[in-house]
Amino acid sequence: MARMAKVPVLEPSDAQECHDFILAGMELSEQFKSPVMLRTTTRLAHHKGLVEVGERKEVEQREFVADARRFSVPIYRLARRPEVEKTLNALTEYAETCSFNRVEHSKNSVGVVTSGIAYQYVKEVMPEAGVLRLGMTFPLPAKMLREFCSKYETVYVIEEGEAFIEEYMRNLGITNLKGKELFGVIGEYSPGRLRKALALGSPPQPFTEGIRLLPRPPMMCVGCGHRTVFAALKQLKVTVSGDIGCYTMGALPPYEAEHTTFCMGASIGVAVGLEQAGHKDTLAIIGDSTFIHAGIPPLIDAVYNKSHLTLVILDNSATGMTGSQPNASSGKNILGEETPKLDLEAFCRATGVGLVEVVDTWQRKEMVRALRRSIAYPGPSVVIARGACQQLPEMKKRNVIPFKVEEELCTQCNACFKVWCPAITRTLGNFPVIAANECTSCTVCAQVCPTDAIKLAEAVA
Amino acid sequence: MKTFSLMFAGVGGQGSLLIADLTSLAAVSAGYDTKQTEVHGVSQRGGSVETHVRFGEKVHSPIVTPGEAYAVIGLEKLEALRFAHYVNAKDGTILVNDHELIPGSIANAEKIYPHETIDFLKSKGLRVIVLPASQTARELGDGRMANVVLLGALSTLLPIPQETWDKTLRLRIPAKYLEGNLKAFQAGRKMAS
Repeated sequence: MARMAKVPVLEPSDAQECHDFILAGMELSEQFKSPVMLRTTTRLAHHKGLVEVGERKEVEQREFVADARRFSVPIYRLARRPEVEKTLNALTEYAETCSFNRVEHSKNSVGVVTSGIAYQYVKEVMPEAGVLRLGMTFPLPAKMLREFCSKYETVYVIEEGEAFIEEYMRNLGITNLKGKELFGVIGEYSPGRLRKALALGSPPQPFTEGIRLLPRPPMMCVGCGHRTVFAALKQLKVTVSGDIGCYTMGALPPYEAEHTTFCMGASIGVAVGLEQAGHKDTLAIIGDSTFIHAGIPPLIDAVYNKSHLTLVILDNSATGMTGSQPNASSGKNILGEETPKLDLEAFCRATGVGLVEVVDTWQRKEMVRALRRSIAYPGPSVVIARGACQQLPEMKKRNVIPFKVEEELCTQCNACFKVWCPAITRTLGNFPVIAANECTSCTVCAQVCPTDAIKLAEAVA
Repeated sequence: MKTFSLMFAGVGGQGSLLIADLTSLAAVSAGYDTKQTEVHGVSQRGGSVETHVRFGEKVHSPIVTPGEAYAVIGLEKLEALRFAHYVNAKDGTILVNDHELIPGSIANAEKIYPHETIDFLKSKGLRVIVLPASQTARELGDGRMANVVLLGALSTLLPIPQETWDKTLRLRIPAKYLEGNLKAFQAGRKMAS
């Protein structure tokens, strides 16, 4: 992508460099008047390490200088192209000497060209090898690579993902290389994986012989309002296109009631596409935060193009999956200040949606009825399943009266277990028991109990 | 010096991430280079959670390699089993809370749960220390402190002074839970030493 866009790419190898390369990238961007890309892969982004921060520097406010030849209209673009090539040539020169790329020579016959977090694994697994660590992976330094490879008998190219550096090196005519044929392109690297690929030993595998290593898939939280929606969708047997949020768990057992997940906002486009391809009973499901972020243009488009879209908005007033941050439907911003609260139902009506219903997300029967009405409705329709995320601080702080099982009334029919609430477990006598300190009093288990054996704790003797 | 690799395993909501954070902070305070990484699913609750912590003079990889962990800290038996192969069979220890959480979304899970985990791991020649952390935490007034009981036990195995642990707990635990957690930590220390 960077090669097509002709922008330089920096790849840090640890937490300190994540900090340093941002600053250096800003300077690089100013120096070459070019955007700069910072690439991180899974483990680099999901780890912590020590970082020393420098002194904060105040930078003078600079005015935006209007320059249509640089920033505007396609007719000026072609005239800019030679400039872009010139910049790229200058960056290629720069790559040969910049401090992002670093050679750590050794007397060993083995050399390694590496980038990103893989550098750390190389230092761990092959501490004796000579290393060329590329901190700038586009444009690449041809001279530096040729010279490095000429000093070693064998050079391993160890980069996560595609063989970007390796292919470039092979195109330079460098032949003493070993790379993707050993390390692979799929999934993240690790010291264990390198060791195995280099035949330096195989790390032990999980214990699965002679014992049942049960899986423990993630579950929706205790009291999560998504549960009733997916139970209803499973019952209604509709084809569901999903979106990005905790509710992707609706695709997993026990619900298996979400059938496509792509990118943010895709639920609506996919549902409309399925409908246009002749599929019946399709339904799109999206959270409030993702809807506001990426669902609005496709909803307008669906209405405009006369779709019969049925859309469920899971409105829990939070961006649950990333830590319950507020969004435009929360009524407060990230600083906790009061802000206008987006009126989702008024907004949906304004787009031309004919039927908009709001349902208390914990009311199972009403949820099924509302979904049925919405699916049967001839035009575009929206069901807003409303109920706050249990992870919101105000929900956690509430005083909750938990539910309790009255064993004398319980027939052990297992209906409450099929709510799949993590707070419901079994006693030694095989009765369900609700963890009082976890119960959010969402009432769903009480609603499914055919003998009314689940009651508010204070009502049970 | 050698690098200490630790693997914390638990169920989302048990607080394995918190004690991994506390360990990393204590290691940093004690002057070690430290790295931490966690592998977690989409949910905050109910799923399997693993956290890797490595500290020493100079740490490269944040990932612990199976077979190299100086300690595997299991907040629950099944999760201890899931990550037991990370322990270094020569000098490593598996610290496990004598506690079972039956996975909710599996049919008949309570019948097929590996209740024999401890004996199984011992039969593989691994050093296993079983601690009644959940029970101790309940006796101290709050079962959720089982994680800190285990942390206390772990602290006896690591080259980090007692006062550094104490300082770290005081820095990170909110005032209203501090007293209980300090007691839980000491109870764990006593159990393991």
